[in-house]
Amino acid sequence: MKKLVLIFAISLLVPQLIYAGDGSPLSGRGIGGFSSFSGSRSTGMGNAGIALIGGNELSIVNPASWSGLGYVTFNAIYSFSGNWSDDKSVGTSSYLTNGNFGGASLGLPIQKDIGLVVAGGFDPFTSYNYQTRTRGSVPATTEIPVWTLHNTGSGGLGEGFLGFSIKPFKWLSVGSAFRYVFGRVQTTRQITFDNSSYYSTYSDRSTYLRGPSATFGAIVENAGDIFNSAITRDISIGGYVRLATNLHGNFQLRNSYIDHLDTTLVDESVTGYVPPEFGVGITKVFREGLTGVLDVRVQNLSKYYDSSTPKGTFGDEIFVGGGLEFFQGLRSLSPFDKRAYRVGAYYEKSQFLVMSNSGIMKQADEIFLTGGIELPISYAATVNFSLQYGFRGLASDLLLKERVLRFYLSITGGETWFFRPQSD
Amino acid sequence: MIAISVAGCTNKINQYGSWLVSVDSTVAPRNFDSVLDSASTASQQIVHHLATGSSTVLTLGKLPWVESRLLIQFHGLDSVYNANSIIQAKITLRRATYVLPPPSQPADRIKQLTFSGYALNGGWTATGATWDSVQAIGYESVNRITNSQVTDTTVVLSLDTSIVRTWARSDVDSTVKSYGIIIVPQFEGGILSVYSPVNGTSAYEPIITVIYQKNGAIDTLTSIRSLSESVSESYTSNLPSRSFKYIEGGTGLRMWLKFDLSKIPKHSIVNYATLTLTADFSDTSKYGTKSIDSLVVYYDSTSTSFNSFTPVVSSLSGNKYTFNVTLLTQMMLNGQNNGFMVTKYSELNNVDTRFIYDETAPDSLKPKLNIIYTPAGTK
Repeated sequence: MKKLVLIFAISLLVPQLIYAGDGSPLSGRGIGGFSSFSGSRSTGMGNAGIALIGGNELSIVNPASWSGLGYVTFNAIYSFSGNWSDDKSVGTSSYLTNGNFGGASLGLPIQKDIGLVVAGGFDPFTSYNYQTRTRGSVPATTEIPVWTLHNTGSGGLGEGFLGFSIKPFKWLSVGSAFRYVFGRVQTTRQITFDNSSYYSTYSDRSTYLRGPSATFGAIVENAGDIFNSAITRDISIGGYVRLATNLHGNFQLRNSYIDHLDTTLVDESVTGYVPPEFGVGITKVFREGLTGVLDVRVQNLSKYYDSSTPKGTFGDEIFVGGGLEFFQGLRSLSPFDKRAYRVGAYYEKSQFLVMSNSGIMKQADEIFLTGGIELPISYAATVNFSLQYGFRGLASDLLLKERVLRFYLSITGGETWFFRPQSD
Repeated sequence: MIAISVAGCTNKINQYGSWLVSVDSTVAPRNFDSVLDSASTASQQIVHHLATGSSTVLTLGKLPWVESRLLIQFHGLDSVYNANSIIQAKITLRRATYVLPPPSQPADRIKQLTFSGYALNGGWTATGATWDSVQAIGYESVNRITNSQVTDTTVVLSLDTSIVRTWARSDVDSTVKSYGIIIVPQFEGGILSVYSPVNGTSAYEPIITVIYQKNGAIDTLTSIRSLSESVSESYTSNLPSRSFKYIEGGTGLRMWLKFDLSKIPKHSIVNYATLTLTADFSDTSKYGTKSIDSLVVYYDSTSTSFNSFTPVVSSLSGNKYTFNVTLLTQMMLNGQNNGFMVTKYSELNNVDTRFIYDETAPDSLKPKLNIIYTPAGTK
């Protein structure tokens, strides 16, 4: 237990690192790209699992699913992503990689028979990680200085959460979590000149935002049994709503000058608004050890705004994802015989608007294939590897095409703190 | 492992994702050209009388547009104090190379110069006295130089012995005051240069030689314990008066130059800035030696003294001086725009004159400030 406490305490020191950017140049708008990460188990199943109960990982999106937690669980995630993107407007490509602490959570089953679980942790909320290059020249001068504008974005917002789940009825789990979003997005604007005797422009724009939110979820287990059909048997239905987040914070603009008068020129309060998110999902147990999941999530991100991002900068996001999970060695007495294999896919009409050949901004959709494997490393600890590979900007006339590879590594440890000893 | 963070990028491309970045007027570098943008420009002739005592070379002489006088005072004459008589006293100044003869005259003409000398009425210091302060101190009307002779290597000035006796008395009796003499050229015969006491070589320092009789014997005293300085004045009414401002050494003629920078947003980032001044050399041989000296521009954050703040030097190219004033203009945009002050680089060593076209000249000749800058930015 001491190890769990120590690991969790260390994780508290690094919440600023929790953003899982994939390096998309599109992420340099607003507070970045909103994370579709929903938990280490779901990463192998198309980021789906709203109605998934059981296992020893905590779902990020639906706190009701925590009611199936078997024992005290700590989960830490490392994420790595690579982004290959092609700018069709000029025929150039970019490759960005990014690796980060991807979140951590701790779940404490207080009373297992009523599904009372308290859980908390940190997880990624947005990513802001991109680079662009723009060339230009200064007009109306005898010598025409040619410059390159380097825009580099970094950071993103993470969130801390603390919540609980409970099963008021055997067939119903409910849960809620308080969330607090916080983090910084930073844009470095550097202008260099082909003539090295010119002094480079260096400007730093930093926005810190924070704000509360909450998630409420429910899962009806075996809801399909009411139809008394083999097809609907062992189907659970879940749903959640994440409340809107009103953000507030401050924006700072700092420039560097040749006379070393590096001045904070702007330091002002900013606000923002993240619309609510809704999701529903189903889970079907096909047979012992084989489970399927299917989720739909929507978020009206066209209404997102902040002090420097007007409404309409993003499009409404629609997510459809699903996958299968196969547990091997489920009945084995040795934990080291147990394996979990996961596959899945998801489609998302993403938040990002991309310029098309005709000059009209169009919403970029994306499709990802996912897979994962979970292996035991001790009696109550597992390691989970997940890969996601996909494409963003599927329409042929978009000026930006992206290929994204994501890798997640998570370690889950467990101990039986609150198990009541059996009476003789 | 939980806190591992890495980032990488493999692209070294010139252009990528341009359409994602709004490169509007608040982002892209821009050009300010004081001539093309018709920026209001003002200049002023500044006379900043100089104290030249720190210079190794002092000027002495007179031309229609400029005059240099020499202040000199000797000590170390104690042994002459109670001499029975002073037979002869002379000052020998060692000539330096700089010479500005009268117009259309050979350099050798300078040897015809003659000088007067007058006892100063008050104290002065070699690093503090200027033309103005000497006028305020004042000097006697009696000429103390009985003869002057300029050779190729020296200027020898014979002195009225009575003033030497006064100097000797003041060396041993603090109640007796003497302040040296001011050496004044007697006509517009050109300007020469002599080494000062601070030149570092005793063989070149001014020297006084006194031959005196004491207790029936004739003895000779020499002393190099002198204090000397040139003070100069420019008579600008005798200079050509086209669209010029004058930059002159010795006399402290300077050009103050200010451009209206209000078109550039405050706190913009200056990427590169040049100040171009055009000189007129149609009378080069008359007013000094072309390209012997660079010009300097200064910025001052608080006043117009411009003596020590961030000098930028430019040598002559063609008839243009081009200064890299990136730092100076940035200081103006971040601080106060008090304008530039343009001076000679070796301002203390000669009296050469530069004619710099001012804002009233045609566009191709007037001072031009060109600034490439990036606007400060907004949210």
